This record gives sequence, structure tokens and C-alpha cells, in this order.
Amino acid sequence: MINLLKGELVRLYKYKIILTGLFVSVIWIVIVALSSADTAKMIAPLLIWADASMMSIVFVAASFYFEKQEATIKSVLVAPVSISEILVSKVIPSLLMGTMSGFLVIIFSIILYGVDVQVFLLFLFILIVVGSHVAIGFVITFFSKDFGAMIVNYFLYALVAMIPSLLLSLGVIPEKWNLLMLISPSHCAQILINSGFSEQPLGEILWSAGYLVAVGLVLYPLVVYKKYKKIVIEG
Amino acid sequence: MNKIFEINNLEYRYPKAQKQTIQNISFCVEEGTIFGILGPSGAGKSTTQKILTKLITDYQGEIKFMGKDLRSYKKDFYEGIGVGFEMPVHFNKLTAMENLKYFASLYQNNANYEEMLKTVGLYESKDMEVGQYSKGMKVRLNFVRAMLNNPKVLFLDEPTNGLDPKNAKIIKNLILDFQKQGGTVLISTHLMGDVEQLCDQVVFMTDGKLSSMASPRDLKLQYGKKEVRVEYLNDGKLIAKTYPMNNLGNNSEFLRDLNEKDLETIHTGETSLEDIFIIITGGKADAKND
Repeated sequence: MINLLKGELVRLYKYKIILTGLFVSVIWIVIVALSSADTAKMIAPLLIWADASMMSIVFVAASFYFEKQEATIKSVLVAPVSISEILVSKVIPSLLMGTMSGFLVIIFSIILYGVDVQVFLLFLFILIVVGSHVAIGFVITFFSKDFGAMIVNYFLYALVAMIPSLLLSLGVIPEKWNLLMLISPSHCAQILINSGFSEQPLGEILWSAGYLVAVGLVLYPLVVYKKYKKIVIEG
Repeated sequence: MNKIFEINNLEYRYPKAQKQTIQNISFCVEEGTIFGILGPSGAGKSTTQKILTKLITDYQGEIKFMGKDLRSYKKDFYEGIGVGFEMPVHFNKLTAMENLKYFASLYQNNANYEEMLKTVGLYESKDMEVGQYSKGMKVRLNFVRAMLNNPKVLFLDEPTNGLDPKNAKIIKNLILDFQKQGGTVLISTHLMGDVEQLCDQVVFMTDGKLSSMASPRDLKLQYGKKEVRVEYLNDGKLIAKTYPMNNLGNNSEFLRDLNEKDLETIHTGETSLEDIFIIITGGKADAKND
């Protein structure tokens, strides 16, 4: 398991996926640094939300397609490792990358503007958001025929889940739709991230945390685990 | 001789396929032999290999590996087998050495892969990214990857496809060395040159069915023409004659030619494995000589 994880980190480094993640983090930091204090307080949660939810999906998809293209997963599957170990070795780096980016934005927000953040709670919620969205990323990837189809499906997901949540937070979509939006993993992610920066209704926080944990608990064993080997073998 | 694999009534259909990919096949693989699964593209060779390597598990029928149901083996099964895929399966942005170190770290038992890199002529390029390797170099690296864990059973899918004759010979010699040390090899191939030089037993697959099972020699005897062909020059003109093998020692015309003519060539009428391949697989000619 440790060797799989070490190998995965080396691979992500060599394929510049970690570097790309760091580069995106730097962009977020620059945005925060160039903003006024009030703007920074407003956009920091948005940046962490976008990174923890949507970027997690992108990184998982990119990482999987590199491996599928080179058929290296087959070579790992004929080694004495289980599918669960392989999947865990892929999820942990995603969690590290997702929290690393959030951590950097939080640190800079605190240092530059003294933004009031519930650090430990926010870390816990970032982990939940990244963990559930990595599972969503696997599902989107597995149900896409090729990389082009994956991009289309990714944008469809963003259109259905992420953009309405963003529009709701900007007041473009009326507040009355909030309840319905609670079925969107992206919206639940936004509630959890926002709760680290400002007070949110406790019921919504509990629902969002429970819902995203449930999404992960359902998707990993029932879809990701079952589909992974099948997708690799059958193409 | 112990049986490594006993396959009985094996059937498999891919979920979206309209017909069975593997149709009720049965065969045995004995320990210490090189066993060839031959057939045209799409015949089911690679699927059979995927089943035998436990990559596909939802098959019907019975497979015993070393006397035990294949399904009863867990991940330790892979400690004892090596798999060489047809297509290169390496991380292109990692060097050959980094690839081998990574894959080797997944096994308890490791071969001396630096030595193997030397044998297949890749040692000088061990620190080069695999993405810069030629196809032939990747195929050789595939073989080293398959041998990383000192396996007892080796599965090879078209092991010399894309290699020049010199490098193909190196790989074939390594396969024969592996057999001499007691290893068992299952080769899926359509390259009849490999089959003649390597295999003790072969089965032909066509459309998911097994057409025949024998040694290459037996196949040649079964399908070969029992005749002798001689060629000689007569007044500068090439003459070719064919005689029946039966009672050849009493064939006066043959004996006269043998005694009086200056023979240039004399051959028995063996049918090549390529011809046998075409006969057995019903003209689905995909056989090549390497």
C-alpha cells in the first residue's frame, strides 16, 4: 500500500499534475493578494470551494486518462495489490492536493487580511468535499467514452450542479430555491466551505456534511470499485 | 508431469457483446512446458489470457491452477506469475529504471532487473524516459517487467511482435532459459516463427472455439504432405520432382535420381505452420513469419 502510494505521488509529480495543482493554488493566492480585504473575505471561500470540488474532479480525470492511455493500470492489476489499495493510493494524493490548495488560500487570507477562519472545521469540511468530489470525478470519467466525452460530461455536471450554486450565492437565483439546491453536491460543498468563514444554518451544515459523506460512501464501493477494473480491462 | 492449468468448459461473454467471446473450451497446460494459444486477431486469445490471469473473473466453467480453483486464489496469486502484455504498459514520463523500481516494489520477491536490462540490451538506456523508447525497446522492457518477480508461470501476449530478428532471438532465448529453469509459459501469438521455435504444445483458437491441440511437430505430421521433393539441374534447366514418402526406399525412380543426378535440394513435404494456421482457422489468414 505504501509503495503504491509512493509510486502514485512520483507519477503525479513526473506527469506535472502536482505542479499544475500548485500553479492553480498560486493563481488563487495571487487573486486573494490582489484583492481588497473585503473582496478577499468574500472570494476566499469561493476559491476554496472551486478548488476542492471542481479541480478535484479535473485532476482525477486527467490522472486516470494518462494511466488508461498508457495501459499502466493493467500492469498494476497483475501485481499482488487489491483494487481497494489501488483506489486508496489514488484518493489520498487527491485529498492532499485538495487540502494543500485550501490550506494555502486560508494561510494567505489570514496573514494578509486577518480573515476569521475556523481552521480545523474548515479542514475537515475540505476533506469531505474533496473526498466526495474525487468519487464524482471517477464516476464522470468512467461513464465517458473518451477524454472529449469526459470534458463534455464535466461541463454538463458543472452546468447542472456548480453554476446554479454559484448563481444562488451571488443572488442571481432567488433564495427560495435553496432547499432544492441541497441535492446538489456542489451546493452542499459550498455550504460546508462557507461555514468555515461565516455562520451558516446548522441544519444545512449537518445535511451537507451527511449528504457528501453519503455520496462518497455510496459511490466508492458501488460504482468506483465495481467499475474500475471493468473499465480498465474492457476499455 | 503436474498440470499448472486445467480448463474445463470455459465460457465468457463481454457484457455488451452479442455472442460468446469464449465458447466452451477445455485444455490443460503442463508444468515446465511452453504452451501456445494461436489464432487470428479477435479469436479470443487475449480474453483467455485475461481470464487465466484473473483480470476477468465472471467466467463460466472450471479453471484449476495448480490443482485449486482459480477463483479461490487471492492477490498472492500474482506473486507467482508474470504477465507480458502485447502493448507496452509503462509510464512514459518515468525512466525504465523508475518504472521497474516502482513495479518491483509491489512484489515480495524481486529478480535482478539490472542484469535483465543488460541481457535485453536496455541497460545503457535505463535512465531514459520510456516515452523516448522505440517500440522494440518498449517490447523488451515489457518482458523485463513480466519477469520482475521471478515468476513460476509466465503469460506472454505476442512477446516478439515489433522486434527485429536479433532482439526477437534474445527474447526467445530468455523464454527458453526460463523454461529450462522449470518455468511454465503461456504464449498468445499469431507469429508462427515463434511457435515453431518455442512451443511444446499449441491450441488454435477461432471465433472463441478451440480447433485443435497438439505439438507443432504432430501438427506438421498431421497436415503435412507425405512426399519428398527433389530439385536438380539438367542441361542448365531446373527440374523439380515429387515422390510419395511411402516405400520411398524401393522407389526406383527416386533412387535413380539420387544416384545419377546432381541434386541441388531435397525436402520432405512438410506443411508450414502458417499453412496449418490458415487451414485450421478456416482461411482467416493472420499468420506471419517473424
